[in-house]
Amino acid sequence: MTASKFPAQRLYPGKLFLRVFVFFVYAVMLCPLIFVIWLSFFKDAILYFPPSGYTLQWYQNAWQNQAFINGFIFSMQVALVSALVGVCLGVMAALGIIRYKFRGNKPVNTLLLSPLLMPGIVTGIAIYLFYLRTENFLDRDIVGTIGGLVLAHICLTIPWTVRLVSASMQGLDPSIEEAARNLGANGRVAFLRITLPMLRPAIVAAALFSFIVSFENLEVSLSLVGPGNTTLPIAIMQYLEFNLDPTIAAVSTVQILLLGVIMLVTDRFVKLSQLV
Amino acid sequence: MSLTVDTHAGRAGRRMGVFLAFPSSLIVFFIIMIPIVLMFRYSFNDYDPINMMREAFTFENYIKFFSDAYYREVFLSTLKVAAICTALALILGFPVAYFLAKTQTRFKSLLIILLVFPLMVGNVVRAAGWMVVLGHAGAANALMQWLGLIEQPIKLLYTPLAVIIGTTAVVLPYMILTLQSVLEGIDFSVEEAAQNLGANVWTTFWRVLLPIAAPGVAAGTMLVFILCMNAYATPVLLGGSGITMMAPSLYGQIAKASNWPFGSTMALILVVATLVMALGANWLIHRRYVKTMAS
Amino acid sequence: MANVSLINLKKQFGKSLAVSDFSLEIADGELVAFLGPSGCGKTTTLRMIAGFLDPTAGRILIGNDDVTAVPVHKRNTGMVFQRYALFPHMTVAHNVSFGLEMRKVPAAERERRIGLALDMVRLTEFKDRYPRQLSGGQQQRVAIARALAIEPKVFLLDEPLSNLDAKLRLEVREDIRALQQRLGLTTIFVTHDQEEALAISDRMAIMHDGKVQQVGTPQDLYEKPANLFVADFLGKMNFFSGRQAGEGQFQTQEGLQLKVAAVAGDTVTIGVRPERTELSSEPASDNSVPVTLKSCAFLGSHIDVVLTGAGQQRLSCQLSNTAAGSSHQLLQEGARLFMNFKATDCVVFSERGAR
Repeated sequence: MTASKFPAQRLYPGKLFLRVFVFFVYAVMLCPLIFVIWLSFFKDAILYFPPSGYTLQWYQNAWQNQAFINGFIFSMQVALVSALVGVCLGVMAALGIIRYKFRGNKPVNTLLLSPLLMPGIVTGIAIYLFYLRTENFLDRDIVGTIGGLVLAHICLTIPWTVRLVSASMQGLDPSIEEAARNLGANGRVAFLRITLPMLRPAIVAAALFSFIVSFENLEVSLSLVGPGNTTLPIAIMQYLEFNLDPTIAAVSTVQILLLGVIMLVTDRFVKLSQLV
Repeated sequence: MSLTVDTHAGRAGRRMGVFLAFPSSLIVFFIIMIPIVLMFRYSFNDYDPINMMREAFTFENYIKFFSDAYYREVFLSTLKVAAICTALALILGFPVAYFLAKTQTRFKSLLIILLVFPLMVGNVVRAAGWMVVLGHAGAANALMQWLGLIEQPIKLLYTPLAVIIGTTAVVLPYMILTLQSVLEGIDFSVEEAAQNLGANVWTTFWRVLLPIAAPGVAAGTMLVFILCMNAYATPVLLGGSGITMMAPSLYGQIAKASNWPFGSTMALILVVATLVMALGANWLIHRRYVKTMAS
Repeated sequence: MANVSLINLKKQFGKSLAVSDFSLEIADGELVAFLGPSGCGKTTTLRMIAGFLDPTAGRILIGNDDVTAVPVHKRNTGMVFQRYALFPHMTVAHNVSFGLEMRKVPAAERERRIGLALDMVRLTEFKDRYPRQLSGGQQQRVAIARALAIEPKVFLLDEPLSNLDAKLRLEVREDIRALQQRLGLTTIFVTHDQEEALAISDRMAIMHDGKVQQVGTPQDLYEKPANLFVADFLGKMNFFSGRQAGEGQFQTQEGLQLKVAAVAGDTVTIGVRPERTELSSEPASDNSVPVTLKSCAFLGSHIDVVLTGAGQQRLSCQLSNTAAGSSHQLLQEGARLFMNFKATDCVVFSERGAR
């Protein structure tokens, strides 16, 4: 290092200030989550600081609340299906676009990434209106059904999958597959035994991330849920519009834990910072 | 170099490519493209209380939006909040991104995870957290009363301030991550070179670091601005009736007032206005950056 | 092992001609190096031989079989890549076994050949490691073992040493040559490093802008370069422009009379290698060119002296650092000296050189 001593010394108070600043900003970003988790253990039913004691009863409370249980199960179902279907279709699409370069592959790539560009609330409404129109046409219900919601969520999981898997494909060293072919593997074998395994981290990350995106989605789902079929984020939101108490904090904490754990697992497969 | 190794695939390969991309394209086309186009078409229809909508082609909805002071205020409020939050995110986020890019601590990956973590858990839960902090009986009021700064709790929740705080906290990770990835690519010996030539810390930042990081700043600003304009959960939960923003308002038009044409109009206005302003900010920053480099 | 015939190979990419009219016969067991600056077409030619690229025109024969239209995986050429290209998700043993699995070699025989291959590159104890656990040099040796395990007809190497650090380069290079000779492998070795090519090849083909400039043994190419490009690319050379002025005589642009044994009517440039020249304070030998000493660099085993000739052209002389180096006391900046060389050490060219 060729930095001379003087600038390093001059920066010292600055360095300290920077660290404090960074700590402060992180606190701002993380404090809502910390407070939610903290609140979920408060003894009193009504929010008051400082808490008079701690308890686990609200978790029990939440566990017995049918609305939340249903919401949780429903969100799980939707997220699992949307992630699975989205990843399968998305991986296929990424392969088609990147590897088999056909004419018009760039516009198709843009099409598949476009759902991420629109505001969620607008997308949700547009799909809602479209479903209503189609309902008349087909003479069956779509809005409020799990199928209708899954279809909309698939439009969110496909873009993320295409993004993650394409990026991974483009980062692969082409000479590795060439080496396989040189050693006697035909195109198909080389792809299945060499290239696909190298894409595995990205595919797994895409699956996990798609699950998260679907589970936590609010704005698109808002217009597409029906009585008895609502997602957990929406159930939480509807509760919060009237009430803030440890019970909802407990439910929220469950969501934080679930999605947080999945995120940590995803981190082992793909560098998370590149998701943004 | 990309993995387009299949030089022998030829026409068969291209057909395979189309076949692979087809199901996804079909779904996205019919579930996203068509509905969005339809919705924008609806914005030119008339409102009908019974059928929600009557086929027509009129600009009345647009005229109504811009001539009604209430809706103008909704739009401007959204714009103001988005601008303030973007600016705050930039000011607060840049130093953090800088720190992350330069730090060699082994906690770096932990710090990045802590950054991504809030993004994963959902905006509803994060807004709930701010409700706990800013509420009448919340942590902030409790702390200030305990410190003797105030006698009675002050109204923090259901104000524009709460929305600004909540939205800024939501978008900060996006800004930091975008900036950080750009700053990682900078060779910091340019900083040392500037200092060696006599520049102090501020000059180095303003005339060396910022121009080089400008593309990242532009990208981050664009991303964050769009997110702020489109925000739904945070303004609803933290703003309540204290402030009305575009996304909650247009949702209300569709879901509660059932005025589809007008709601669609607001949607189109939101999307177009956001895009135009974001691209404008992007262009401005690029222009400034080129100017600084040239001078 | 087999011989290789390249017949009028041509490769066009859109408007640019990457390889034009390349014909070459490579004998069974021979190591031929393709040498040239980047973009000269050497890698393109190699990839055509391997089958990754289809030639625009021409044919490729391996043994007596025309393989021009045969797909990559059926050509049986073992290739070693610049960045090793090891399969990251497989152990060393698995990597080596891959080609054998493709050829449906039974398990017991596979084990034997894997063992042999790893033994040849001295990596037997690493067979259960993963590529990321190995150093660059080790990874390249695994790549070599993997290519050899399949007992290919032709052994192809695409700049295999350029990703290794200097010391390793020498080691791996010697390993490759030793293996190649021991196994009698017909080998094509692509490189941009002339020292590598000179050191290990039986014959070299120098390429430039898609065309083969000259093919021959290292000595042939060095001592008798066919044109100015080869002369200047391999080692260094002093050039003099002018024309023939009689039997064995050459008159330079600056008016110097030089004795050049091989001069002919169409000779317009002559060249002489710096190491074939000497310096003195008085004219000596067949040819004595008056020069002014510009600078000299002590490089350990020899001294590179930069001189300015009568026509302001740049000349250089290489003196070996022997104890009896009598001309060393002459090496003062600005000194007026004579650069001496023999008539038989001159090479003649019929092209005009820009010097």
